[in-house]
Amino acid sequence: MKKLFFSLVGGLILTSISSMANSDIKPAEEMRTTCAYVTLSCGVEGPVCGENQANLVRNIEWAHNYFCEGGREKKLN
Amino acid sequence: MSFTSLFYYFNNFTLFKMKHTYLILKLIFLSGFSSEVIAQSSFKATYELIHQPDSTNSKNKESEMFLLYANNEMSQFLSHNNAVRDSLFLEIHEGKMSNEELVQRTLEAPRTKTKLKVNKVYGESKMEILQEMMTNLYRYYQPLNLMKWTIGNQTKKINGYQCQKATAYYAGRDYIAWFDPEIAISDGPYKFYGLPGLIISVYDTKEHYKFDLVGLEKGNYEIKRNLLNEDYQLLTQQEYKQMTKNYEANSEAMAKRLFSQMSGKPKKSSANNPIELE
Repeated sequence: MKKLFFSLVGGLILTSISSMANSDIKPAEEMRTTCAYVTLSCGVEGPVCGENQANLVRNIEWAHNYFCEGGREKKLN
Repeated sequence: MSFTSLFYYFNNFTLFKMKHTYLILKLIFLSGFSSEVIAQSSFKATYELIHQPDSTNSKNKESEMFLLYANNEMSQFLSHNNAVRDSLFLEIHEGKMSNEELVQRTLEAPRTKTKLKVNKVYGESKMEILQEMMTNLYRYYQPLNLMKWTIGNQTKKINGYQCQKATAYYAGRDYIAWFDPEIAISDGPYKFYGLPGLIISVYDTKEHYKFDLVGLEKGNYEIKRNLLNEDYQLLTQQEYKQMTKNYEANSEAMAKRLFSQMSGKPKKSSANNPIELE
């Protein structure tokens, strides 16, 4: 009985350790930003980052406006 | 008469009664409440904006297509390319897009310089303006009836619509609008609202901004005030104007810092002509 108890507990501990190792735990910096290398239509290139994917899209658009369109974000206000 | 034939007779009679009841109800509905049926129908109006970004250069004009969705509760005005962009954001929110695909889709997407949305909420007598500035989201409110229109007697036909003239002053510009009194929708592009008919064409007297109706479709359009339930910071219009000035003053420094690792020099802007001058 003792053997069975210890083998069960041991199995449980091993399973939790292995699932922890397989989970997508990322360093804090990686979780905070998402980056991509972009080449804009006017030839400017380099890395652009954002807090999340939606912000990354907005920053790519901003980069395009800044480098290729003269920084004009809007025509109506 | 057998039981089966009695059953069929009864069923047919019930069907007959149901058909007639439906027809009678339909007739009553169409005759008595026809105006209500029209009022509840949704539509999509497409406007082309022809705009002069540099007030000193009348030769340089830019154009962009805009959509006005409306139902009996509210309308939403946004650029066509912004609506296309919304579908990309919807996919991103599903969380299944790789950064590689996201970059490709963003760079290939038709670009809009107008990330503003105007939601006119008829029941609340106010309009909600949603605006993106760089990566920040802001909203502010204005009354629905911003313009004091003077309706004239002059009429003319524009693209097949029999229009009547109206004039108004708003935010530093004198506007001329042509509306069709036959289309009982008191709405129009941008913040233009309150005429007894849909605005077919509206422009300032210098023609720096000119909206022309190029399409009108009926349909069932679902309008969402905030499609992605994003957190738009609420400002007063005054605070929003101040925020815009701050961004204009600091945007270059912010961009230099944010894109410090990118090669190349920024293009100089010649835009100096916003639609609202005051």
